[in-house]
Amino acid sequence: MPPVDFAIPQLLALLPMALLPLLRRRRDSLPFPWIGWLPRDPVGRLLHLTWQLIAMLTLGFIILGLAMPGRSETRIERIGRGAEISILMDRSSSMDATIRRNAPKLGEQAQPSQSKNDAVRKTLSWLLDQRPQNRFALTLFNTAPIRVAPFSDDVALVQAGLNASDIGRGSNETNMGLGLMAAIDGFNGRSYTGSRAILLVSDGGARLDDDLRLRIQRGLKRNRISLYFIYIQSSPNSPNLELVGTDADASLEEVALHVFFANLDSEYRVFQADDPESMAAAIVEIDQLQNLPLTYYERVPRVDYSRACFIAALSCCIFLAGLTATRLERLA
Amino acid sequence: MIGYLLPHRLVNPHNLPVLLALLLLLASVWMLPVDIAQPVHDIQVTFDISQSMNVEDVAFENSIASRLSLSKAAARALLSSLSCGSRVGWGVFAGHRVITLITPLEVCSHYAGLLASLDEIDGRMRWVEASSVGKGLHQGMRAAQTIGDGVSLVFISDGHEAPPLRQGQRGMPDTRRFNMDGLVVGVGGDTPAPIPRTDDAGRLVGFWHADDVVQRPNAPAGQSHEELSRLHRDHLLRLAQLANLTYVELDSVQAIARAIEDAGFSNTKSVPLDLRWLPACLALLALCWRFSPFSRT
Repeated sequence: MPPVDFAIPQLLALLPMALLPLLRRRRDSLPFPWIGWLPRDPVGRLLHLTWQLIAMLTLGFIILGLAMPGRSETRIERIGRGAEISILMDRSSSMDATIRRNAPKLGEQAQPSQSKNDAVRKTLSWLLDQRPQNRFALTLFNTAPIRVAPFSDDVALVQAGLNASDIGRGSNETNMGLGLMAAIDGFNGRSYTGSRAILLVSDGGARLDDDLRLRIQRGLKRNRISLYFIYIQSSPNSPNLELVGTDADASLEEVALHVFFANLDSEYRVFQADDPESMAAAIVEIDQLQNLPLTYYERVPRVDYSRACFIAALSCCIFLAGLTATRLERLA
Repeated sequence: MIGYLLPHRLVNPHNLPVLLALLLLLASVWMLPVDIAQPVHDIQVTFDISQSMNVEDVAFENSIASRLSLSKAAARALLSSLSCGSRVGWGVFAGHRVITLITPLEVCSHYAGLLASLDEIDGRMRWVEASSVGKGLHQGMRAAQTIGDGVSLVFISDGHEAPPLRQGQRGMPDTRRFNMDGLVVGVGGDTPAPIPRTDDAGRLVGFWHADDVVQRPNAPAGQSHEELSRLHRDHLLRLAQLANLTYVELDSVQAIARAIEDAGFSNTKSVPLDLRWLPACLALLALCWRFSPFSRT
């Protein structure tokens, strides 16, 4: 727990004002030329001292309260379940196309069409809501990696990044390799606090040169990252990656990429998303796979003690008012 | 010994300041935050991240910095100058596209996140080596409009068009359908300077030469120097006029924050304010009056 500090410590300079009640006031003086003639009054003297003390406390508490004492915002380390997930999302113009749907069966209502980007955003938003303990990062890629949100505890930042990905159109080409490297590098220099995953969402494949393949392979291994590839089919002719083995003919870009991923030493899963529902199912499955112990930090907002000070001042003040209006009589 | 509470002594003038302080302290203990209409801003800041923004020809913190780093520093200054309840988002521009990175987030509760995201913005995000400033401004306005009503645009650029525009071309589609406030912020020096050339990883690999870039068509031989870049003030000023935005020059880190404050295109939003200190202050004054050796009551 952090020590108590003051939001406006300068106001503490007013604290000497609390000594005011110690000063003798003209109206408190009695119309006697010499008080030596008065009988000794120990009870009265005690009451006066109490009155002075309480008055000083009242002033002191108000000044303390005004200086706004509190414990500053902290982060408490907790152990929960979840993962560090880096979302790597295709932001090329093909993602703005509508997602393919199977023709409605006889007697079924045709479902409303939805762009791939829309479907991706919806399901990823669900994932963000589901596990606020997860730490997320967001990187978009087209020809260049666009680092939108680095890892942070602020889920709203990633959500705002997802919302933003809906605005405007991306460029036509993609360079997934650079995007992957950017997502991998996002883990660099972070201490290992729980399982790590890259969630790659794309509707296409990529041909990666040997140098990049090596860097990706090493990067994933060094940072101990699992890779999940959500492949969104573009057309009925797109291959079904879940059915492709690891030694398939890699003449198609998607298949080539899948085969490369599958032959890596790192954990890898592919999810074929033909429609918004299968995408949601894939995200649910990833969420379950990545439900491992995770050290996370919970933000504890600043605790303010100024109200407590004012309550103390109020109690003292009630006592003061009461004391002034009290008359003591010795019982005969 | 027995104590009596005497009502006439409770409300006697001598005791009044204490009673007043008591009531005021009651108020400060039970007072709820008060909703007060405050000027807040919803701002989408869009950075030009084309290569010319890497030219180091602007003064920042007693040294020379690149145009983009000064722009980012100005955005940071803007973030810390806005009152709570304001919202800020980021976008980047290259080629003729604007990519929105973050839709506006409230500045106080997402301060750290917004800063972290701002730090990531650099030339490595550039997806294309070109810069059509006019089209970028148009897209920036469209993006801000899409985000929502009342969102104003801050578009930061050096106005360097690559490839260059033809004589008389303004290079910007009609923006009349966008109805918004905003700033066009010009950044850069007045002396044409060579443009650094960077690779994918953002490392400097030299400078652009005259043969590498598209020169101005119909320019007399040797007169076109598009490989050098300066702040194209006239071009940005003209674009700002056409788009009905305010032109500001980024001559200091505070320039954007100040311009936003001066421009007055804020929205009013009720922001809950904690005003406990006010009655507490008055209570303090009342008690000081009561205990002061100079008061006669």
